[in-house]
Formats: sequence, C-alpha cells, structure tokens
Amino acid sequence: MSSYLLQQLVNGLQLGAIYALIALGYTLVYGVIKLINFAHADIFMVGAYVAFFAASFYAGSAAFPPQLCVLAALALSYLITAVLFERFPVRKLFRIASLPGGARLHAIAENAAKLLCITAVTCAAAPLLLVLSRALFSTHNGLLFFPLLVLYVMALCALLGVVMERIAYRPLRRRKRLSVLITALGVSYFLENFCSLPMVFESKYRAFPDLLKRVDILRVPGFDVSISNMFVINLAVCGLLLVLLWFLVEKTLLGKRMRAVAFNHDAAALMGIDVDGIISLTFVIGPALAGASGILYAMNYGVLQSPFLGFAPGMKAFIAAVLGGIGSLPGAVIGAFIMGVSEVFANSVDSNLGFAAAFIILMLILLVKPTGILGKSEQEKV
Amino acid sequence: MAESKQNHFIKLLLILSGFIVIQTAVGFLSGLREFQYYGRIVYLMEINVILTVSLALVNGFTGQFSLGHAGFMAVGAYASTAVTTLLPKLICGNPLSAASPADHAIFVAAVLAGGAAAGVFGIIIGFPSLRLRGDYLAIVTLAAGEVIRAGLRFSDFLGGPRGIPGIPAFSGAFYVGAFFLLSLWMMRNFAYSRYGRACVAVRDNEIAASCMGVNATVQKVSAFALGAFFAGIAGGLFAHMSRYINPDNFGFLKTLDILIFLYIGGTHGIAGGIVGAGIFTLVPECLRLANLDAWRMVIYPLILILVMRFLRDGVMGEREFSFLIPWKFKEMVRNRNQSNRQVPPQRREDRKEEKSKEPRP
Repeated sequence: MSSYLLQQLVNGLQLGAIYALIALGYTLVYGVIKLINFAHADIFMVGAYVAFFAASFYAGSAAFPPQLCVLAALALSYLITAVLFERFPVRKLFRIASLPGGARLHAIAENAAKLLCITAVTCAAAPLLLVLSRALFSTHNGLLFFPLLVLYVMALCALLGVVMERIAYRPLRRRKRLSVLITALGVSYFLENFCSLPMVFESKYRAFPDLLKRVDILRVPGFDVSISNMFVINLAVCGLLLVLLWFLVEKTLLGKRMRAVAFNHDAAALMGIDVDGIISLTFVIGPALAGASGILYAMNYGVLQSPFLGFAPGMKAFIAAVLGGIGSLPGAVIGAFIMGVSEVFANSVDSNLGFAAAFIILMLILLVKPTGILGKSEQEKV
Repeated sequence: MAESKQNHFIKLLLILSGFIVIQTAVGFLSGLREFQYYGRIVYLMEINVILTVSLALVNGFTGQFSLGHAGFMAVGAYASTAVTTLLPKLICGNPLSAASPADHAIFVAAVLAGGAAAGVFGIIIGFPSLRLRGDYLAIVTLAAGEVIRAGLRFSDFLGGPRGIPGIPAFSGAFYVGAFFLLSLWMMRNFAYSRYGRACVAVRDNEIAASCMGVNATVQKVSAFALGAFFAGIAGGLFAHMSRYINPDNFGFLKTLDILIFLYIGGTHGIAGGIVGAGIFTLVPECLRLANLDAWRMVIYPLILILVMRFLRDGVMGEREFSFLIPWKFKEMVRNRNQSNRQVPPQRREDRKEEKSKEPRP
C-alpha cells in the first residue's frame, strides 16, 4: 500500500511540474496588472499544438503546416509595425495634421501606412519563417531537437502573448478591472474557437508522435516505485526554467523593475521605469513558460483532444496560483505541486473526482484564507 | 416631452398585446414541420433573455461578478426534470405526457420548484462567497458552477454523465411566453423596488450605502438568490424545450454565453439584457444560415472584445426601454438622465493621455 501511495506521489509531482509552469504565468500577470488572464490557458494550448506540429514534422509523419507560419508572421508584423509607429511617429514626417481637416486625413494616412506595413512584413516574414522552421526541425539529432523545440514554442507563445496584450489589454489600461476581465474571457473564447477552425488547428483528436519511449530508469529498492524518464524530463525542464526565472526576477535590474511595477505603477513610473514595457515583459515571460508547459503536457498525455484542451489544466493551474497566494512566485510553484499530487490521489479514488477536487480545494481556501499560503493581504482603504 | 400616465399605460398595453399576438402566431407556425426550427429560436431567445436579465440582477444592478450562472440553470433544469420525468417514471413507469390538465399543473409546479431549488443553492453559495470581492468572487462562483456540474455527473439517479433523455415537451409558445413575461415583470419590479435601489446603491459605493443603513450583505445575497431563482426557471424551460439534458450543457461555456449577452447588451438595465440576448441568439443562427457555421463562434467573442473596447457600457448603455420603467419612476429616471448629461464628457481624461504620449521635441 505504501508503495502505491509513493508511486502516486511521484505521478503527482510529474503533473505538478506542468501546472507549476502555467501557474507562474497567471501569478506574474496578476502580480503586475491585477488581471486574471483567462486567455493564459489558451496560450498553453497553442504551445501544445505548435509542439505537436513541429514534432510530427520531425518524426516525418506530416508536413510543416504553412498556416502556422502565416499566423506567426501576422503577429510578428503587427508587433513590428506597432513598435515602429510608436518610435517614429508619422505625424512628424508629414505635418498634415496641422492643416485644416488634416487630423482626419492624417489618421486615415497613418492607418493606411500601418496596414501596408503589416501586409509587407507578413508577406516577407511568412515564407522566411516556414523555411526557418523546416530547417530547424529537419535535424535528426534527438538531443538537439528537444531544446530547439522548447525554444521555438516558447518564442511563438511569447509573441502571441505580447500581441494579445497590445491588442486587447493595453487600450483598457485605465478602465475598471472588471471590463479587462471580461475582455480576457473574450480573448480566451476567441482563441479557442479560432484555433478550432479547420483552416487553423482543426478540432480533432491528434496523437502526439512518440519522441521518446517511456522507460523506467530508476526503481527504488525496497518499494515498488518506478521513476520514468518522463518524470525526469518534466522536473528538469520545470526546474531549469524556475531557476532562470528566479535569477531574472531576483538578481537582475529588469527583475527589480518588474517588482517595482508590481508594487506600485505610479511610483515606478516616477522612478523612470517604462511601465508599459515591463507589462509587455510579463506577457513575454508568462506565455513562454505556458508554451514550455504545453510541450510537456503533449508529451505526457500523448494526445491533443481539441483546442479546448487548455481549460482544465489552465483552471487547475490557476487554482494552484490562488492556493499559493496569487502574485507570489514561490507560492505558485508550491500550490502547483500540491494541486498535482492532490489531483492524482483524487483520480485514484474516482476518475470523476479529479476536477471537482480542484474546485473544492479552491472554495475551501478562498473561504478560509483568501490570500493563499504565501500571499500578502491588502488593506482596503475608504 | 412629458408623457401622460394614460399614454404610458396604453403604450404598455399595445406592446403587451403585440407580444401576445406574435407569440400566438409563433406557436401556431412552430406546429408546422418546416417552421419548427424558427419557433425554437424564438423560444430560445426568450429563455436567454430571462437568463441574461437574471444575471444582470447580480452583475449589473448589484455590481458583483458571478461566473456560475449556468450552474444555477442546471439546478433548475435538473430539479424540474426530476419532478416531471424521473419521479413519474419511478412511480408509474412512464413520464408525464402533457395529456391532462393535471400534468400541466405539475409542469408549472416543477418549473417553480426548479427555480426555488436554484434559489436555495444561490443562498447556500452566495452567503459565504459574497464576502469576497471582484476577481475572487468571480473564481469562487466559477468553482461553484463547476462543482454543481461535477455533482450532477456523479449522481446516478439524475443520469450521471449520460444525462436525462425523453423529457416531455411542455415548453411551447404558451409556457415560454408566460414565464418570460412573468419573470421580466417580477425582475423589473425588483429592480425598481426599495431592495433593487438598495442594490444599485451597494454597487455604486458599498461604504456609503452601509452608512445610509443598507445592509450590503443582505442585498447582495438576496440579489444573488433571486438571480439564481430566475436562472433556475429558465433552466426548467430549457430542459422541457430541448427534451434532453446532460451536465455538459451547463458548463462554463454556457455561463460565458450569458455573460456575452449581458455585457454586449449593457449591464445597467433590463433593456440591455433583452437587446443583448435577443440579438445574439439570432446572430449565430443567421451566420448558420449564411453557411458561416464554423466562423460564428469566432465572430461572437470578437464582438465582445470590440464592445468592451469601444462602447464601454454595451449597446444600450444607461438607456432603458421607456415602457419598462414603472410610471412612478419615470420622473426620477428622466431627471437622472438629464443630470448625467450635464456632467462633462469622460473622454477628456483619455485625450489628455494621448497628448502626453506625444514624443517631446
């Protein structure tokens, strides 16, 4: 019996590593702009799908899908255009805005120029991306492939995150928090349904190619507990990314700025910190981690059901973040491992219980200690 | 353009009789085979309006943010189905058949019982969770909805994950129309009653409302329970229209649909719920007819994002259909709107922001 429990514990930790990477994204974004980013789970889903496409191309079972590159190029060109037009305002070049009726003319001209720029960059970048991705994943070296895959997926997810923040969340910065929350729900719903379109990812069962056979590499003597290579990979990827994140947040100037913005936007701005830039940075880091988690998920489960697959793991990871105290990074990791272990134990009692257990845990925490394990309570002022 | 009391009631009567005429026509037409589908869309629209306005009681009038509405709908649907389908099956072998007047009486009682059960759930869930605010409340209510759904999947008596088939088709033009009118009437009365206005006060400023002697917790819980009650009624009607229910009908996506109706329409009044649910039940069906079936669920959230970005308060904003305002409150609403108009436009702050963004020379 004890070996059975121990084995479940091992499985729970393996699952917890996946949740930890997602939960960090939730907690980072919440810490910085106090938004529950419901679309985070869908970025995780996109990560899993990108990993699937890259892996099946590598395994030789499918061609690399061009639509993925077109979408990525579109996002990239939007980002490039937005940054370009922010750095070099066209109004300084043309000076038509000062003419009578020029403001409207200028707006039209600017938008036309933006559209042109987006189209041009997309047309240039899409084939380039396709060639690049094909070259990247035509390697036959398994040891090289996996890190490449992780970096590639993380980069694409980060791109998606930044573009999402710019389009949907940034214009609502000064609004009530609830309207941003509703927009986040809308973005999540949009991503799920958009990815379900037949021309994008298509909603059907997809078997993830066997990148590596699941092998038990270690048997604990005395107990009947086996540790598989999947467990090692999960914990290694998770641990590596955690160390990197810890280093970034605690040891670099960028991390210090991030902590300052999380503490107080206005005060940080007065200290000369580019608040919008830091917020964009959190939308780079969080989605990148979610993308890495998506790879692990796809490898562990071996099947992608539909673009709605992000909901359940996303919800559990979010609960993990709340359990650990939302806004606290170590809290999110602790919460994620607790969630992973408790889910595995609940599932071993009854397979229906896993999902419900997560929500029951959530209700209990929020009713008993809403700030979570490591969260700080905020005093409300009149 | 002050409206006389007589005119107001004549208008109300005209609209009411117009509705009854249309509903009767729909009822007759949906008896024909080729119009059955369109009849169902009309009924679905009315059920969605009840759901949306009941959510507006919580999210709009009281200013809380609940994400568990589909759970209450599920409670209503399952409770009423238990009365009309499962219990008769257990007792005499087959479900009610809509043949005798007694069956109809049982159906009405069942829908009301469904509403009451949902209301009780609303109190049970609302009382502890409404201590929380904003995001936390949203998550707890979301969790509550999911727990209700998980509970339904568990219970073998209620069909488990397979759901309940063979529910008698009671929800026709008459019952849907009648419950629609009754629920709207009751919700409107609540919104303009002393309790409803206290809820609005809690939304605008909880501390100030408490200082005026409003018990914020009682207001929140009562609005929550009432919203759950009407969601339960809508659930009962839905179950007897679709004739088959399973727990996954009432998942998070259903809540999301209701939220989208509400926030596109506008949260400040009943009109927002009617417009939002009315239009956005129709839009997907129109897209379906236009062979854009795959795209309809993409366009839907896109509209929500755009509305949140450009319209702030939804399509209706602060406006209300004038026939929905009780005569006693017409003056008050008109004065409020006028004084609102005198306030300088809020956009000024945004313009200031834009200016400061210009790069310094």
